[in-house]
Amino acid sequence: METEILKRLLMDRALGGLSPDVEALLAAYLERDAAPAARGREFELAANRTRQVLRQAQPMTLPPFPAARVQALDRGRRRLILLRNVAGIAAALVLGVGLGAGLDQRLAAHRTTSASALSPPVLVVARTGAEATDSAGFWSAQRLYEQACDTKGTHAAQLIWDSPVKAPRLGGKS
Amino acid sequence: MDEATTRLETLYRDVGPGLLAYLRRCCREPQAAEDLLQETFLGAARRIERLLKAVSPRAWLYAIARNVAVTHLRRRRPTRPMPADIAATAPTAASDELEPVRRAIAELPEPLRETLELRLGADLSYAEIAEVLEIPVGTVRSRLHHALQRVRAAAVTDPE
Repeated sequence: METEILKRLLMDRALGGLSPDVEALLAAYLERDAAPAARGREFELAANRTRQVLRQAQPMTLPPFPAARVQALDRGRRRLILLRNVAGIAAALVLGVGLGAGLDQRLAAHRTTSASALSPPVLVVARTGAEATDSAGFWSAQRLYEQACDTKGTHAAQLIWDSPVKAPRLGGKS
Repeated sequence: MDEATTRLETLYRDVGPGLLAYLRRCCREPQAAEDLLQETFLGAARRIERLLKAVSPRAWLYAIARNVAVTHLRRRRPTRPMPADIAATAPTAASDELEPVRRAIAELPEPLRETLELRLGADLSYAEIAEVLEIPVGTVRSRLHHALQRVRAAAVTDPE
């Protein structure tokens, strides 16, 4: 085995950083070679003494768990989460209402524009001779025109009938 | 008491003694170390969701403790404690044998000493140390190797 790799393995073993499989393989290897085994023992000694120095017993009492402060923090955290959720819902509502209102305004504007662009169908009837009136029959537009003119006592140029549910009216003069 | 607080209290009982020892080594003041330990757990309580999701809650607590200690040391004095502080702590009857090792540890550069302390003092795994110090595992291994070689030089020359 390469010396440098072996040295790293020996140090890792002393530090307790080897997996059990690798450790077993290394132990088997060291049984056949005394020199690296001695070096390994030196690393073990150094690690053990370091452990001793770092873990030297000092009188130590664990202070009580700060339960009251932790619970106060927890309450504060819960309150914050609740506030955050409420704020989120409020923001969503404001956004929704705002968008809805904006959309409604745009739709209303669109409806007005469409309504003015699409004027209702107008039936325009020109005045014709009396013979035509006779031939047109009871349901003819000409008869309706004549009737409207008689009611108003005047002769208009047009008869405007823009809705099937409303009576026809007279339009502009000729 | 809810589940998170109970979990935190269990961790306090399990990891608390090791953390207290670590904080004592960091700041050298027993009273301050106790305060820092409580501060560490309050810090953990503030970010309890992260603690519950942490792969190694122990490593996460050590990371908080380390930050708390560093902040404390910065506030207290502008420099880190002198490495010789370790040599001055806790002399025992067996300290003759350990004296060269203690001195060697004290003379280690701060990153090496800190890594060695976390491995052999706090018994954290390489991966946990990497998490605490926010460095790659390879760097942890390399620091530990350098530190151990220096300590070994002192330990083997020690007359037995």
